[in-house]
Order: sequence, then C-alpha cells, then structure tokens
Amino acid sequence: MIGTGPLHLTELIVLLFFTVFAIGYSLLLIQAAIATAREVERERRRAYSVADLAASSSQPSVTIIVPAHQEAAAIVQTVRSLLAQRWHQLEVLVVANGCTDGTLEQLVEAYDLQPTSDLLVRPPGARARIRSSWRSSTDPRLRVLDLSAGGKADASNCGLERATSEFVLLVDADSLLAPHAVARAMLPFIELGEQVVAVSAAIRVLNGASVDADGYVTSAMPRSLLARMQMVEYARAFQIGRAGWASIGALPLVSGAFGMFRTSVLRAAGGLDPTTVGEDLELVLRLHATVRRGGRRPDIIFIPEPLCWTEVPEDATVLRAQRQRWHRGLVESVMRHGSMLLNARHGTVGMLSFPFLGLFELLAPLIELLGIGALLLAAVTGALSWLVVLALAMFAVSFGLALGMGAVLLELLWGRGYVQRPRDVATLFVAALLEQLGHRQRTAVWRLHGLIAGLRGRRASWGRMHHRGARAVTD
Amino acid sequence: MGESTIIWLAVVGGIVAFGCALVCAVASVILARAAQRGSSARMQINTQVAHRPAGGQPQPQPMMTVLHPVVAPQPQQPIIVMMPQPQLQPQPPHHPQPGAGVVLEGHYPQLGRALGSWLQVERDELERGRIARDLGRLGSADAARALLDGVRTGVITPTIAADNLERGGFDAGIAVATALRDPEPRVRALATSLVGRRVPLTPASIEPPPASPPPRSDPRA
Repeated sequence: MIGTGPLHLTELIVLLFFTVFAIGYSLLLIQAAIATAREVERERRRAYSVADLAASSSQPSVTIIVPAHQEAAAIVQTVRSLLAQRWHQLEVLVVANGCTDGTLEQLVEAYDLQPTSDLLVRPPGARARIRSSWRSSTDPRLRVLDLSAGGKADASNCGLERATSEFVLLVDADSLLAPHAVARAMLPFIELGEQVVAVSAAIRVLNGASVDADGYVTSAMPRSLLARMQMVEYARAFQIGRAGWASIGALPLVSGAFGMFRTSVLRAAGGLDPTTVGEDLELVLRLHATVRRGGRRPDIIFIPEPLCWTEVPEDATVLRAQRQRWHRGLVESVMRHGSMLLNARHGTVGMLSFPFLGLFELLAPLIELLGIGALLLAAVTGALSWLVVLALAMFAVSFGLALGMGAVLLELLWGRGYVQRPRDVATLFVAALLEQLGHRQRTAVWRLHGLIAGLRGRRASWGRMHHRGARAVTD
Repeated sequence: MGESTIIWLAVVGGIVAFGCALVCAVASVILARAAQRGSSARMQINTQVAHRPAGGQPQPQPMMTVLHPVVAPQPQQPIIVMMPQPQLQPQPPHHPQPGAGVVLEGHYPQLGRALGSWLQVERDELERGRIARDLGRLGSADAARALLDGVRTGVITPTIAADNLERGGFDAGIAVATALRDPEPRVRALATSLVGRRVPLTPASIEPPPASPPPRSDPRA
C-alpha cells in the first residue's frame, strides 16, 4: 500500500493522524473513566452534602449572568430554574441584548419587573448601549438589563460589570439548571481554595426532557434522530474530553452554557472578547495565560455530574450554522493564543491539550475528508483494494462507536440520564452507529467551512433556533 | 507494510472496538436497571405527564404555549438617586451556624449605618471582617461609606474594604466617587484604585439620561 506519490503520501499522513488520534482519545477515555470513578467515590465519602452547603447561612455570593438574544420561548423557564437554585446568596442578572421577539416583555409579565433608576455605565470596549435597567418586585434577586444590540460577549461583560458577588455563573438563556447546580459548582471553590478559578460541569441535551415542580429535569429520548446523535456527541465531549483533560489539569474550555468563575479573576482577564464567536474557549485560554502570568497555577475543575440541560438543534440548517460557528471560534482562539503551543510555561495546557486542540480538533475535518477522498480515489484507480478501504472504514466506525458507548456508560454513573429504560441503550447504540455513518462526515464538511471562514476572517451567523423548552410535569 | 497486514490490523482493531462498544452497552443496561430498581424503591415524586395523547410517546409540549404581545411599561428617565429599598419577602427561617454572618433583611433601610457603627466598635478582627463582608453584600451607598470610614479610622484594612466595595456594584459608586475628594489620603488612594480598576470613567463610558424613552426598533433593520 505505501509506495510513493502524493496519493500514497496522503494515505500515510491520514493513517498516522488516525493512529495518533485513536491512541490519544483512548488514553483520554481511560483517564476520564478513572477520574469519574474517583469523583463518584469522593461524592459518596463526603462528610457533608451539597444540601448542607445549600442550607448554610455563611455562603459566598453568586451572580448568575444570562445573556439573552431572541429567547422569548425559553427565557421564563430558564429564569425559573435559576431562581429555584438552592442557594441563599444569589442574584440573577438577565442581560437582554437586541431582543425584538418579546423576551423582555415575557420577563416583565412573568416577574413583574419594574424599571429602576440606576447609573448606566457602559463597560469599556462594549458595543451595546444600555437602554434600561429592571428589577423584579416579586423576587428582588432578579435584575434585568436591556441592551440595544451587541453579542453574547458584550451582554456577559455588561453583566460582569454589574455583578455584586464573589462568583459569577455564566449560563445560556436556554439552559436549565438542576436545583443544586450552584451549590454543587461551589464545592470545588470551597474545598480546594484560592487556586480554583473556574468550574465547569457536564451538560445534557434537553430535547424531549420534562421538568417537575421542584425543578428537577428528567431526561428522555427525543424523537429526532439528529438530537439523539447529538446526545452521544455531548456525552463523548463532556464525559471523555472534558473529564479526561481536567483530570490532568489541562482543561482548555469551560462551556458557555454553564461556567462558574471567580469574579475578580474574570475581571482581571478582561471578561469575554466580543470580537470572536468562540468566546468561551478564547476566555479560558486567556484565563490560563493571565493567571500564569501572575505566577499562579490556575485550577479549572470539571464536574462530570450533569448540572445543566440545553436544547440542541433538531434542524440541519441551524446545526450547520452552529458547527460552522464553533469551528470558526476554534480557529480564532487557537490563532490568538498560538504562543501557548508546546510552551512549558503554560503547563499541561500548553504541552498537551492545546496541541491536541490545534492538531486533532482544528485540522480534523480537513484530514478526515482528505483521508476519505484519498482512500476512495485509491480504490477507484486500483492503487488500493476495496477490501482495505472497507477494513479501515469498519475500524473507524467501530472505534467511534466504542467511544460513544463508553461515554454513555460514564454518564450512567451519575444517574439514569438519557437511559430511562434499558431499551434506551439500544436506541443510543443505533444513534452512535449512525452518527459514524454519514452524520460525522456531514459535520466534517460544515466544520471545514468553518475552518476556511475562520482563516479568511469571514463572519459566521448564529442561525435561528426554534426553542421548545422542556415539558412541564405537574403534581 | 502490505495490504494484508493493514487489513488484518484493521479487522482485529475493529472487532476489539466493537466488542468494547458492546461491553459498554451491556454495562449501561445493567446500570440502568439497577438505577431503575433503586428509584422505584424510593418515594416517588407524584408526577403525571401534563399532556399525554392516547397511546404512543407523550408529545413534547412547549412551556410557553401562548405568546400574547405584552407592552412593557416605558422605562423612567434614569436619574442618579439612591435606589429605594426593595420590598423583600421574609426569608424562610434557617438555623444559623456558629459564627454565621448577619442575615440581611432588605426592609431595614438603616442597616448600612447600623453595620457601620458596629464595625467601628467591634473588637474582634474576624467579626469585623464578617461585618465588612456583609456591608459589601448590602452594596448600598451607606454600606460603601461605612467601609470607607472603616479605612479612615483603621478598623479595617484597605484590602478588605476594596474586596467588599468591589461587590457593591454601581449603587455604591456614588460614595466611592465622593471619596475621591476625602481629606484622608488612605481613603483617597483606595477610592482612586477602585474607580480606576472598575471603570475608566471617560465621558464616552457614562450614559447621560436620555431626554425621552428611546423608540424600540429592530437593530437589524
């Protein structure tokens, strides 16, 4: 098979890439499994419970910042889950930016918001103008800012400027939190001390789920195959990727849907960057650099227990825009922080996770599609037998399937989750298999567009997602 | 490397990987059954599906089924005044831990001054730190002045005051701005560093109160 010529060279590169990728991800899976098992055991042995912490009157204060753009369908449900948090010292700050769909009006009606007289100061570098400020008369913990326009980063920064707490939790406007999410996320800050600068947690797919009167979300299998495949993707990303990297202190990303930060550290780092669409990844890379410049080692903790649910697109058009945007954000973030690459001053992030991001995540769609093209071309021209192509394809599909089911198993350590009935495992098995046969390749094409757009500096669109919210389950 | 070697490696690797996937699936079923047995043994939350059509899977229902247009009241002209104390619902009773902080009741408008007086007379340094933290959480102009007074008289350090003034948000901004002209140099230095750290106050960054409520328009138009 391996001879000379560009086709054979391509095959060699692809084989080498895939071999290193497979070994790397397998090691991550093993590391994640060990870390998750330890976390489950630590949870079992803890002398006090999350409920004890939630009931304590000596709690640090937390501000939850919710940037919201055109979220009328989901915002009330989201705010309800935030106000239902088992945490006394809580403030919820919704920053509505450029909403024309009635997002603010929904909040005004649901929470009896009253306009407040405040000094309206625009944060430095902000693009949006603060139109008005509101406070709920039924629950004074809830405050709302209305911005004229601007993106998620601008809105988050406005919220960060106004936060009055020691810690801030950044969530998406379509995120539902478990009632103990804040208390659980605060544990690492309290137990591990000052070196912890941020806490992330696993996120589950909300599609098809239901919410009971106490705010507990019961996941369920959605009808949409696209949503089911994304369930497997999310499980793999969080239970293997994030857990694995975090266990060696190399977590490069805190998801924008759920991220708890020390307010002072976030402010010192300058908040979110409004000039990139991958603001969550860029922020954490910058946090690493900022804290290390101060001579400290930043600890970014990942909690493998799912604390947050978010809706995923069930429409291919919206999913495409999302994946292009994510990949473009990845390109921007990696290019901005290129100095971290193989830089020992940035510890395991610089030496391990950042190169992995740059090589396997960033270039993966290009190499994957090149590999498929090269193999098919070689088979068609007779340079390679079809048997080789089929064998390699079978291995790739099986490997992806093993990773997916491994992630589902790790998820189950934290409760039934997606698997409400044993036959749901079979559903996820099929979804994980089908993900490897077409969906993955399709997303590779989208991500390649994102890669090209990122390299060219072209603006990506957010797309418009139709939110359904979770089903209400009443007593 | 011959084709046969590659085929052999790929097939063996594929079988191993598929086997691992199956093992994970079986383990998932076992865990799911165990979790199902465990949850049925516990007391169930009394739930019933809100809308279940006859037969088949319950259809996911959106939370918001009616989105009738709501006209928001026009915001008042923002003016720089003290915020009125909010009418809080009484907090549910809870048992304070030893050494717990003060429970803040929002309907005591003089609370900032009371805590400030307490800060001046408290002898225990730890307690003064807790009072300072509570003043920071209170976040009112009175609380900010109490913290600044604490620095002036030396009962708290500028570091403690700064950490807690940071939490004060912009409600305390007026007191901090006033402290820029304080005769005590430590207070002036503290106020200067706070203002400089939080917001570089340039004319462009402060929004003057608009003359009339701005019309709502689609920014994308």
